[in-house]
Amino acid sequence: MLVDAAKGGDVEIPVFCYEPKLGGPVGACRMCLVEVEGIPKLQTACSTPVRDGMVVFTGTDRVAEAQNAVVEFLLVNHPLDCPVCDKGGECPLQDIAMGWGPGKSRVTDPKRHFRKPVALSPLVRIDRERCILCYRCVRFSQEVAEDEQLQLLERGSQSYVGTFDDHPYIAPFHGNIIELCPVGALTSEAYRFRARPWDIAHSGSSCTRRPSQCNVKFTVRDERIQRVLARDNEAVDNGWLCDKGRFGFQMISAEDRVTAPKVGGSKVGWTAALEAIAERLRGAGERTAAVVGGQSSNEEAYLVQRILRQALGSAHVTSTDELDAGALAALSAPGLSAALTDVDQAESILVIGTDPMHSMPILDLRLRKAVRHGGARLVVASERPTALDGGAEETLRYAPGGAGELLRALVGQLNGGSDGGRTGSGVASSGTEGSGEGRGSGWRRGCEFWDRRLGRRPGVGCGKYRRVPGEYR
Amino acid sequence: MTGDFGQPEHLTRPTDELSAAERRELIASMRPEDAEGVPELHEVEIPAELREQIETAMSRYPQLRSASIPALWAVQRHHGWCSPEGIRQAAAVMGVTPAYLQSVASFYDLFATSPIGRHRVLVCHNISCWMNGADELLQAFCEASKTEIEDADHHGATSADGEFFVKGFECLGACDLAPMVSIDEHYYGPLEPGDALAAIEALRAGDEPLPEKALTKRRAAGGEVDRDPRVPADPPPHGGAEEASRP
Amino acid sequence: MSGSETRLLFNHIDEPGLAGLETYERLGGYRALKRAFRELEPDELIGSFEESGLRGRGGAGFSMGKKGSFLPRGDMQKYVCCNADESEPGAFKDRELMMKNPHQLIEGCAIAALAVGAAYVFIFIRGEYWEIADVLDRAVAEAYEAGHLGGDIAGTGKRVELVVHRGAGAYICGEETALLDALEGKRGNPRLKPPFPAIQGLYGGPTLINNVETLSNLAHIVNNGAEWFKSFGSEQSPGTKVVSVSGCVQRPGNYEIELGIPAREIIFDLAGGPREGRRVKAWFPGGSSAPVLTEAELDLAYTFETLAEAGSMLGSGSIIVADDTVSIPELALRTARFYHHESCGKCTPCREGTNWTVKMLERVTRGEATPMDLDIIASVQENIIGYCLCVLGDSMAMPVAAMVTKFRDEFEDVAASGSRLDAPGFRRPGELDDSAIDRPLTTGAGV
Repeated sequence: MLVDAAKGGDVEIPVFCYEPKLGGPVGACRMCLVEVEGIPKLQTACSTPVRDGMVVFTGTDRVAEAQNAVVEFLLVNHPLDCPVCDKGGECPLQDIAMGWGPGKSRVTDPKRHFRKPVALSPLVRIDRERCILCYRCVRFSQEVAEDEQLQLLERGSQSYVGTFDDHPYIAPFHGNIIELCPVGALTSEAYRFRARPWDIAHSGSSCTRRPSQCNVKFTVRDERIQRVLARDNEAVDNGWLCDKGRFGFQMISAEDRVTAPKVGGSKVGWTAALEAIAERLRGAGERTAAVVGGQSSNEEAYLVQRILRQALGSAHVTSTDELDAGALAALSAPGLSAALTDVDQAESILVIGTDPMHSMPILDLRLRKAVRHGGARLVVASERPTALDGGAEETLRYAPGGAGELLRALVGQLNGGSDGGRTGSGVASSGTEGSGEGRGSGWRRGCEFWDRRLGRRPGVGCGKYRRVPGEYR
Repeated sequence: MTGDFGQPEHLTRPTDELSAAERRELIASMRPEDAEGVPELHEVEIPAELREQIETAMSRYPQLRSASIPALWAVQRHHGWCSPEGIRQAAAVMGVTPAYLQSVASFYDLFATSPIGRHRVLVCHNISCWMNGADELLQAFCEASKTEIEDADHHGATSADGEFFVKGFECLGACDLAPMVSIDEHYYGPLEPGDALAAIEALRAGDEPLPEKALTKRRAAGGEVDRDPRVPADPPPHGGAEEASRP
Repeated sequence: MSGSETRLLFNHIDEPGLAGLETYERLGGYRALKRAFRELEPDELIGSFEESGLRGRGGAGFSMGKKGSFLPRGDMQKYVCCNADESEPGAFKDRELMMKNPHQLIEGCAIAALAVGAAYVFIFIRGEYWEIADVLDRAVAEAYEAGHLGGDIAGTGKRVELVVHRGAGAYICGEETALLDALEGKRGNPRLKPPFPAIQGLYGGPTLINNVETLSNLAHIVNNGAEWFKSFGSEQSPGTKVVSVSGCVQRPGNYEIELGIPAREIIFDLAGGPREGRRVKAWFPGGSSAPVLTEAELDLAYTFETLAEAGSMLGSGSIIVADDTVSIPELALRTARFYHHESCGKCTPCREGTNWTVKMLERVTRGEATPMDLDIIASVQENIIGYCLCVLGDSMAMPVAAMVTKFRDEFEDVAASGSRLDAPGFRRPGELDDSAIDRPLTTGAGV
């Protein structure tokens, strides 16, 4: 588009609603109007594709008038909150008003008001008077995170951003709207009134809470991390962060954080603590068991199994993975490894035995993008419902522990298909609802398991995760 | 607007007015269960008739989201307004979030997003009707039904007894009946201020208001006009040879 | 051509039972549909419509045949949308057409679908037309039963499904791309153009969108031919036009005329003109979106071209007449309030511009404004025109700008009628000069 091409030529065209990460251009804010030779009306540069031989004017009087007009309109109802607004100093509206605005206000009439600020969620506050209705946040909710909880309500100059019935906006990625918002309408609860841009320093790093290692920027003041921002990395996070990564930093300086070991409720030194642990473990001996979680590092896992096998003589050590060692080793073969960017190009995607929302949230967003924009076909096979079910072409459910059986059946199919009845016996798919195929004992076991767990009426729910056909998930 | 659905005050009060303790309480009260995703069909009690209407609507369109407006009409007819409960029911049937449907409902003028009076009186106050006395007519309806005129003029108001909803409305496409009103989905005009009281009283008695002023009775303004010679004459009655040869 | 109607679409308009299939067929209805489906090729139909010179009757006035020819040929899901959202103040022609002769529209819709290769027709009717939509529903059911719609039209095996979709009250849904969004179940926001609906419209597929009156003409063209159609009206605008006249006239209503007759004949001969003793002060030639014209311009020929040259437009063909009892500033406020209420809010100039204009005009009509404010109002309209995503912004800005310009004196009189502004130290916008920035702040007066 013209806007991007202009950047390449060192020409800046101001924008508000244009954000390529959110999909196609919207053309709503009208800030990027430019003059294109041969077209009588001014065009929005964000939606005009570049063509060979195109002549574009960005600095003529006509364009300047349009830019002044749009800035003036944006400020008609915008409150003069800069002194108390967190965004001040790093605010695109301030910058664009300075660079492309008329400089003087002609408004003498009262502005429209909303109750402000209101808690949109435990982590985000919304100030609707400051909102310039650029739609970035609602587009994020619809088209990136796909939770569709944040919407535009009412019409015209009474429009405002909100949720259903003022319910809190609880969604795992909603913190991103703070960064998307070009004004101080959506602000972080944790960062409220903490610093001005000239007080802080930035420090680049990566988030360590999940395997994806999303790139982040720490905002530091007085040698404390005050906030976490995304540091756009195409290959990893696409510029998004999950809420755990964005707000989890607060634990570093939390008051109730455990910083020293305690035995029996009272603080002890490290030596005494380790002695106490060792004594108890020695007492249990080979009856000790250990389950190593996926967030442990390889070194930690190695040491745990060494303690159990060598020091205690116990063989009861495992991890949370459902697959046996052989399958795991086979899956880790270098030739099979894919990068996150491969997801964008994939034609079909099979998700097995995991819910990316929990194990690697940023992958969830990436998969949604692949399905929505890349046309990828998604199949989800897991023992419990995942957040991706709604957009999957097929969802396969198996009883807990049945992943191995599924994979064997799959391999059998791929190798020729005649598995004499083993294929699909323990597994049921939503696509075959109603037909006799695939509704084996595994299906029933799986459904009953979840009906009991979730307290649902039996026979209802499992496998009935409706896919909304057509364009929307 | 915020708070209109009867949400607890603390969820919509400006947070700067809260004390630190109240803020902590507010945050603690926001539980993940309160987030409104797509409601599951088995989690929501849906009146069978409503569900059937919505599913019928969904089946008529190539893509089921197109049934949003018909679904909201069904909700409004069933519940009297687009209540949160009704919206949740429709959302469950359609497989979308209630927020999405509320966003659609709040965009359009005819969907009531808060409870309104039983009889809906929409008084057009656009240009042609205004030039023919719409302001006086709106005043008359408000007086007859005991409704606040300021509110009625701007965003509609319900009478004190809850029986009438009066709203100054935009052009209803009946400027030839100026000044006119729409009462319970039927058009009436041209009206005099005195007609307002008669209409309200008829509605209270359960009768049709102002039958002689109904749109359906109105003939074309030009009356009888001779057929232009270029316009073909009427075809011969059925039974002609040409007609008989067609299957 | 004189001050009388030429009834083509309105032929038999008040015939009892015309809305029902039996009477409609008795009077010759559905012959065109049968012939078109059984004997005519889509290209023939499009060619015939183009040849006839039928122009869109919803306001744009674009050649219907040409618009239809933009849809790609080939096997893909295509759609026809009938824009029955008629919400322009002053327009009520589609209402009468649909309520009294729904089958004429249905037949036209089916023929249009055949012409562009669409299997689905949606009639998007405004939500406020409850009674009319009921009539339409009944007529559609009758048409299905008789085999004029559905899977086997006129025994040819061709399929056209027709869905009557009721809106829910938004003028913006009359804009074609906003109509598509509303039909897709979203908020009625207009879309960026390009891509145009003919290429990427409803659900992303090629879509033909036409007004009720436009589609109602198609059966007649099929029955009688393009040449016959050209015998009505003018060379640039063949056919008839149903004009809605309202406001300060004695016989408001719909009148079907041939374009080219003077506006005076429509307003005075057909609609009876203003009441005894009153004169025409201003009139909207094309609904409230058209810049007002004055008494001096009543003799203009009522055509697309003449009105455009005069700085206004024919639009949907709805005339609103204001007589000399009408206050133009108040009229401007009513007009602006309508567009402010109906603005969808998507683009900045319209959303904020309509809001600001209403606030200023309210101040003007209260008598608390100055000539400077009037200049600002005019400037704001300039800042809206041409910068918005769709034409709703222009539709407010052009008439308001025209009114402020043509009736400036009246505006100034009304604006100055208040007394608050004479308080000492009160600074009006524009009166603060830059040198005040350097002056010491201790003066305290009026800053």
